[in-house]
Amino acid sequence: MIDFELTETQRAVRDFLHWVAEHEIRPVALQADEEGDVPLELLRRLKELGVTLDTLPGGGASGGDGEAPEHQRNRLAVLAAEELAWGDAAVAISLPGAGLGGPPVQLMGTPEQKERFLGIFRDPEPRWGAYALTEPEAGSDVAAIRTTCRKEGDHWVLNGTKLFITNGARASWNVVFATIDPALGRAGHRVFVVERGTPGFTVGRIMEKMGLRASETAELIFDECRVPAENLLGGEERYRQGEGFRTAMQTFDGTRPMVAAMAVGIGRAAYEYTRDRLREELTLSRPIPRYGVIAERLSWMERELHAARLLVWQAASMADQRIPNSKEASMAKAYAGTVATRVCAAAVELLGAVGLRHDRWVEKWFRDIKVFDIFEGTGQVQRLVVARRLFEPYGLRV
Amino acid sequence: MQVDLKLDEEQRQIVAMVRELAQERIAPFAAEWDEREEFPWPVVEAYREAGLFALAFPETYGGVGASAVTQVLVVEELAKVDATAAIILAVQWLGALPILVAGSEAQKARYLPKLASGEWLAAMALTEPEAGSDVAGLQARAVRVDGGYRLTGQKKFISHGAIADVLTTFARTGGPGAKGLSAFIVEKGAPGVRVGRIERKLGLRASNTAEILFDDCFVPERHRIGEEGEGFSIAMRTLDRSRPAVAAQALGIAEGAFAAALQYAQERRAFGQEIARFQAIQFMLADMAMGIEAARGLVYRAAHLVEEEGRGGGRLTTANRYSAMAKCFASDVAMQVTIDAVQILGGYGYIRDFPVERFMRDAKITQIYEGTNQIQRIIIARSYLDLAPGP
Repeated sequence: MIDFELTETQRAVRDFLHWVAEHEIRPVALQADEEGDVPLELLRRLKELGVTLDTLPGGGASGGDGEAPEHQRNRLAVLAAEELAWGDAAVAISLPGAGLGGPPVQLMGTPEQKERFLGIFRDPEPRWGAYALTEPEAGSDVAAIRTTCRKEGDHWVLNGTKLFITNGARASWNVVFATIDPALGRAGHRVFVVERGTPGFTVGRIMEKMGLRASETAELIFDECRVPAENLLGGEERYRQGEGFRTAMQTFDGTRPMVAAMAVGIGRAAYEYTRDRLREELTLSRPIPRYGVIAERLSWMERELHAARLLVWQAASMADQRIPNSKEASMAKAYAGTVATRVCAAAVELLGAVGLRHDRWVEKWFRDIKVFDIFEGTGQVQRLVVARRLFEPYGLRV
Repeated sequence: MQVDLKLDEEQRQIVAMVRELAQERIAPFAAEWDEREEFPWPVVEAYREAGLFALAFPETYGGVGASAVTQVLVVEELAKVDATAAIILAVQWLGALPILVAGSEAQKARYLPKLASGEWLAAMALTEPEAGSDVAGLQARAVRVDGGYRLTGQKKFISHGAIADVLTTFARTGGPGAKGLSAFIVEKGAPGVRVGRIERKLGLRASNTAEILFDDCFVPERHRIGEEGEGFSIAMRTLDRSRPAVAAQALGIAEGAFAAALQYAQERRAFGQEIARFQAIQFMLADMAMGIEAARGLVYRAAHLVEEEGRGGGRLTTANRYSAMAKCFASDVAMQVTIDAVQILGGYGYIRDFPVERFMRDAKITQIYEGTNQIQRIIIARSYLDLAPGP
């Protein structure tokens, strides 16, 4: 099912993005983390180079040579995600483009809506779309959202708060999930595109985080926010059978392998850095009895990341072949999130162990990585998804 | 055989007092100190007022003479709210230990009362850029001159290095290896001692971690601790006694994170119920609790053995095995528990509104300092093996 050899295109995309990560992103990453912001200059430059999130998932940040061939979009996307996160994950998720907001517009939007909302990304200036699902009281439990919407003439009126929204404040528009009645559960969900400047829509605070500090994480507040009826994605008839909730979930089938790939990218960055520093330092100093242990730890890091990457590739490959992949996507996300966190912790410990100069890279990766086991569905929810798929054939519900 | 971990009346009172102090004077401000990366002088002030520094010092020198077990109880209690505050006590005691175990009467009389009251702060400057856990490889040099020594070298990652009034430090007076080291006291402001960079860290951000540079720094002979060549032994006798405090810090961090996760899991609702009702969460909580209880047993046992074996100032044997176990195990537990606590709080765990992300950042260093956990494992294994010295 998986071809382990990368094609010519895949190799080219990977190599190009690795070059970008190393020469454009790494040089500014530490300062961006320190200042809690990605310089607009860098994002402009990356957009010039064709590195944006426009086409994710599955558009594949294809390095500017146009639309990626349909049958390998997801594989290209995970290769891209790993390389960019290797450069800096906060920069990677701040890249201009529709981001997570793209898939719902693609999946549900009318041709007119697609043109209206996705067309803006043709502008040479960086622009963002964002995806506003999480609420203070609803995270992994998507069905529990409480942001309400009610129809009033040719507008919908939204009330509620969204939290932890990546790029939510700088976005030209947010895809906002709301419910006509919480009692209806999933069937009550509606999906809107809310443009910046819509009356009643304000940005609350920008949240201070442990890691990914350069990435913007916003609170969005909707207070009697009046959204034009034509901003309801797909029009009202689309929602007869719980389409809103399904869209939210479908988005994740494509994005979980990408998030997992980013976790692998961060873990790999920490692993390679640790390996190289130790190699330099240890040949300079006299032999110490821990050599054996260090070698074992390094090979363990490499092994775990490799296994995680293969899970990611499998999930992406299945998506390219239109094979349902929610089990594999969740396995990849749960596994990569867990092992990459351990790898980054080990990197801090191994470099501490030989009394190395203080270095901010591993410290940063250790802070950055943890959220990869949390966002896009926590590790626990991923395990639940896997368990459900495992027991399904036996008619058991978990 | 006694296996109860019950506190006596005096310990209960001290712990209750420390808990109140921690709640009132540390907990409300810890996040801000961390954010600003500023040394929390108000904590030092609070400890001075409450007389906490005095716990580890003998009564003869203005101390309280509390047992090693009481000392770890206090560090543990403080670390439940702020690991940086907890380490302030531990660093003071660590800095004073070389004088306690090997100092002359005159040295003890000059330094210990002021360290016990907290009027002066102490630091131990051992680690160097090229010698961390490997103490015998220290490179700083002390050259004998008329009336004393001249110190030259670089010390790295010194907790309280930039703020200490008294540094206990180690330098080479003889040839290579363990036998060539001697211990010294250097007072703040001595000519030739300079503070280098203040480190910026993953965790314990408010704690002061500095580089100390000795450049032809004159140290009078009366400031040498013990005999020439006794430095390695003094360093070891110090570390033999200080590890339980680091283990207790780790234990406290784990307990603080567990308490936060436990509370959150019972308040947060998802899929129609409190997340504490999910087995996945319950399993995590159970693993956290088991780790903490096992660590607690090891930490108290190690402290108890240090107390029993540690009178006088000699090297410890049995206690070291258990100190290494306590330090290694408690810090590994602290790391896993804090990672899981962030996980249970989900997105809220990752942002700075809740203390668990700080606990997770703080936990990491407990696996590294005072001898990395790799070194601790070697110490533990060797305490069981009967091996001739290796190559």
